[in-house]
Amino acid sequence: MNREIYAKNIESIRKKYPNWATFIEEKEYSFHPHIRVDIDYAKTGEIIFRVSNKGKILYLNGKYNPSYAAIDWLNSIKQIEDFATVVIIGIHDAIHIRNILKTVKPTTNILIYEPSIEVFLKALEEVDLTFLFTENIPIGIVVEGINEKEEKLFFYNMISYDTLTMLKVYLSGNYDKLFPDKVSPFVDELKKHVVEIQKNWNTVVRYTSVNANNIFHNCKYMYEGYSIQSLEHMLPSDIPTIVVSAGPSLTKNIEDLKLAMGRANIIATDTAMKPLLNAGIIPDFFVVVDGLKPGDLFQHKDISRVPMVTMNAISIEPMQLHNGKKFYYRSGSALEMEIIKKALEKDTSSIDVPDLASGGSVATSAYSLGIYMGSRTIILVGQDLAMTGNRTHADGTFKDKMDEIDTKSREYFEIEAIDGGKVLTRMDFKLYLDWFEEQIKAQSWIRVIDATEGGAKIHGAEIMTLKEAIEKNCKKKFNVRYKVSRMPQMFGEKGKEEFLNILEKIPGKLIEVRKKAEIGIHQYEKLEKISKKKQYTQREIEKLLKQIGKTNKYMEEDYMACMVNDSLKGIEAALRTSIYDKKEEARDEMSDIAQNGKLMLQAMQIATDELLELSERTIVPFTKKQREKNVKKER
Amino acid sequence: MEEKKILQDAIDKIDIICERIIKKENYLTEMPTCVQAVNHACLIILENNQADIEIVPLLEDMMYGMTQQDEVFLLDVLRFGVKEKIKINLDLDKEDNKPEGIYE
Repeated sequence: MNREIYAKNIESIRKKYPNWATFIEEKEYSFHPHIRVDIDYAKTGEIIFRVSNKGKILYLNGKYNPSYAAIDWLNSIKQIEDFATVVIIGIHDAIHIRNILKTVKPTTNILIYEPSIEVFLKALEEVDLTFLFTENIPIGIVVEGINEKEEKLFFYNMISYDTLTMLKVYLSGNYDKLFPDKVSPFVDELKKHVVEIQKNWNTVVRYTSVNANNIFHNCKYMYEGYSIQSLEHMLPSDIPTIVVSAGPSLTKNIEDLKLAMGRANIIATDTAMKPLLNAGIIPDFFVVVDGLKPGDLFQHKDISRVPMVTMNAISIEPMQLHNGKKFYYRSGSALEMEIIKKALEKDTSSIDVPDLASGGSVATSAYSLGIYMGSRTIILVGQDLAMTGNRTHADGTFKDKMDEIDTKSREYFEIEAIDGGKVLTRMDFKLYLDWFEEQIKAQSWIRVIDATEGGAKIHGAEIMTLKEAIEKNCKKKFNVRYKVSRMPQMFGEKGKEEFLNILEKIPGKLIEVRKKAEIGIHQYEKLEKISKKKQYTQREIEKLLKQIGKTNKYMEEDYMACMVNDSLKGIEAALRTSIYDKKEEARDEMSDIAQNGKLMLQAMQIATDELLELSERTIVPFTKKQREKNVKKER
Repeated sequence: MEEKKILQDAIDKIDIICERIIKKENYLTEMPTCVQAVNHACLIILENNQADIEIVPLLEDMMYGMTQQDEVFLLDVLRFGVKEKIKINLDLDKEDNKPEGIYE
């Protein structure tokens, strides 16, 4: 061991991560006895590492020209852009890290992952790593056995939608062979994070054009609606919730659900409603989450008998077709937030509308609702999360007899099945599966029974047939409907009055946003002109930027401006990834800012006009009619 | 002239292997012809300079990288060890065969 280097390394670690230094010096870590790290010397004198793990003996760098490490990779990626994130797997002799750091700007995020604590400790003893702990460049370090739990936090902080296209990953040579059980899950987790970001944005972009339309159509139902807050802890903890999803296996055990009626809280997903009602099963609730769900799924004479758990952003048809009680959870819409805020301010009897935790699918929301209502046992039915029998959903959902999927499509891949074999799934189902498994792990006090009788294996869930699960867990009678029938609406009289007031102000607010957008466009046009001029004073620019800042602040904070903005996420998504494109000169950059800003505001003007027209068709007639009704009632 | 061809052929074969390793493609199928080409090149080098003490350790390292299937080690020894050695000899050969200028 080179004591001088080790002392220097520990000292620099102590300055940045004092806990690490203590952890290392107190030897609180645990070793893997089968991993051995030796040093060797390159022909040029540098120290290189040789690792032996489970019979494999491999070098981590070459003997003849170790300083060439990562150069092939740097040549292949051509450039590392400003604000990019570079993930480096493996620390060892750190020569590759030095080479990479030579080519990056101070705005680059560097995340280093070392899968072996043995390699990291050897590096501390033999290699000067002080530059990793003192550099100005943002460097995050995750070492397996020290702070691997922070991995997700680093992903979250360093990789965002804006920089996704610039993400670079460097895998140090032989790490995948030596530490496959660590490197592979790390890469999987990274991929998952990337897919998650993409998925979230795609969902936002997919829904935003329809979002405003849905909200303007649906918000009127809030007037006589209910909040899911009234359902919180409504159930005794020994009353289980059965979450009924529309997976292909539902066809198999749907009839068994009759045994649970009146003995469990049955929450159906939207797609499962038709097959359930056709089988004579009336669930206690059904949940909807989708802004694009087709109305066909809800066309049933008994649909209104079941309370709906919904939000403002879901598609219009289900809300129109369902005349029963509607329990709201938060949609995140700025208009809705304003309504709730104002109603709560004016009326203490009004009830807040909380979020409903979700893993992206309606079943995950139904699962969260069951726990929110007080159940300590959740029984999953029809939760295949896979293409059981080569089908996506149960018969009687989208079609009386569902079509078989094309199993050769690259969309599908195999995962562990509930019976120990293999079953095909697709990426979105896999993400929901991961979510369930994470929840089960995190909420150890909740008992989860998978009574699907098919599909993917949900690790952490007990496996039973539905009959068995009902016999063992649904022993006590409990009348959910009776409890629901006695719940108050979310707005009291004053709250309802405030609700109408806000809706009546919508056209005026939209006109205000339009005017602000116009002012903003003029400001950006001025900026564009200035950027084309060869000479401009700093003061001139500062003044203009201040004005633009004020407009942007309004657009970001005003609830109606936010509402308009939300309907433009598609444009924003296209602009966001170009934000970090480096321009050769400041003038180009300024001109780009001006053009993008102008484009956003012009789009806002168009969206405002559309929303104004939409409000004339939806909100204005509703408020008028409701006012008339209220007057009649008073008489 | 023949020697020059053999040395160049070994360099070309090494380049193919290196490229495959970098691209993470299967290089093992091309390895026997590369080994043969390197052997021929080394014989020439040793014939020209029997005192060359670098050849044997180079070949040992190459064999080590191959048998351990250690691509990091093998790529480095091929590119910066064996190839460099052959190149130096090829360059020397070129120097020797340079046509003499009339006025030199």
